[in-house]
Amino acid sequence: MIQINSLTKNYGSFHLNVSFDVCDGEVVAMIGRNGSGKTTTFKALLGLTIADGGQVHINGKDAWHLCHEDKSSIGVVMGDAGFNKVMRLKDIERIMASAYPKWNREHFLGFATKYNLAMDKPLSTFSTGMNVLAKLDMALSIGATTLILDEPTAGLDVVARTKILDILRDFMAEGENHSILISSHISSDLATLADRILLIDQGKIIFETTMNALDESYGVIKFTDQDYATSGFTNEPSLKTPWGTMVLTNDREDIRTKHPDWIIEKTTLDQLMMILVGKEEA
Amino acid sequence: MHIIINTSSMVPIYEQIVDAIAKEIMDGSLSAGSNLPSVRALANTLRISSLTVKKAYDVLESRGLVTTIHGKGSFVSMNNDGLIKESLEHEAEEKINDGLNRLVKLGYTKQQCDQLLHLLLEDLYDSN
Repeated sequence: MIQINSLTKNYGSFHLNVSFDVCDGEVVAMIGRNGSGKTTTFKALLGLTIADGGQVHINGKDAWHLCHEDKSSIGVVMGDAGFNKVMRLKDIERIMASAYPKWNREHFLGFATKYNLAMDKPLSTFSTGMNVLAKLDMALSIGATTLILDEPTAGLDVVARTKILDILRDFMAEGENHSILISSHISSDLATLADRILLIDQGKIIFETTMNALDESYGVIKFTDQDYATSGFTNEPSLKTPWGTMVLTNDREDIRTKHPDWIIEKTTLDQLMMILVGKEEA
Repeated sequence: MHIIINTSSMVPIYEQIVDAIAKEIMDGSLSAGSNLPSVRALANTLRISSLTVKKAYDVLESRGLVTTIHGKGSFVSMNNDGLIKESLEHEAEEKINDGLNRLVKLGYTKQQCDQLLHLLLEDLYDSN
């Protein structure tokens, strides 16, 4: 469980200020444009960059003053962090084994065998996908109950991404107290994994919903410009496109009953992002 | 259990799961007392969020088709033949109701609705 209360960080004109929880048994995904504050949030909550204010608690304890054992309950995969690429998994295994009290050697080796990760070749010979798998193997073998993953699927093809997502769903199935905080650019990945979505923009969480609500209630109405003008929906969140206007609604079924001739789709995360934060680029 | 999710359908995913499981209970492929997969396991199999599966199980439970025992999982309820029939009838009624609502919104009078239902029924029984 992660509890974040008014976590702030200022860089020049950029101001981060976020509050949110990740409950036990829950997968929370943070989405947002490049530079919106996702990675800053992850770094600040882990204490990898010093926050300017706020509190972060992980499993009830102050995240910036965790003892060694507490830290081993948190598995982290960050885009640019990892072991030197000249190292081999068998070297890394020895380091991790002496650094982490609950290190699970069998799990580490079993995972490496299952996903064909060579123990005796330097990481520099690994493909992008294998490198992510190796990092995930380390994060999962320290006995973590909470995973914090910043863009774990970035740069991976759909086959590798599906593999990673299956591993994460397995992790969630293995313990009721397991939880994941994840960020990704690839919204279809999150749609099949996340329970809840946080949309961050310019350092603030501007929208939050469960995937269930997105699936059941939200919809996108597609209007021609003419129909849009007279639709009565001109005050709702919308996005102008070359063919007309997309409008976000959170009562899809009601509108479908009242206006059976309108074109309404389920809202994808991509549409959600475009409508709520994509304005200036449209 | 055999469930295929149609992600491009307008029917919410939880409802698709409810329908699929209710159908299997109805046609006997899931017998009374048999164990449903755990929420996380089914979420893994279907590659969807577990909250969605949880919601589907909650709906099945509220309809009396499934019983959840904390710590033991979810089971197909015993003696549910009557309940299944009731649940299916209820669902069919709702669909007719939706359709009628739509017609009324389109300006159908009570008489026109009545005539249409009459015609449809005649067609149905003639073709059978």
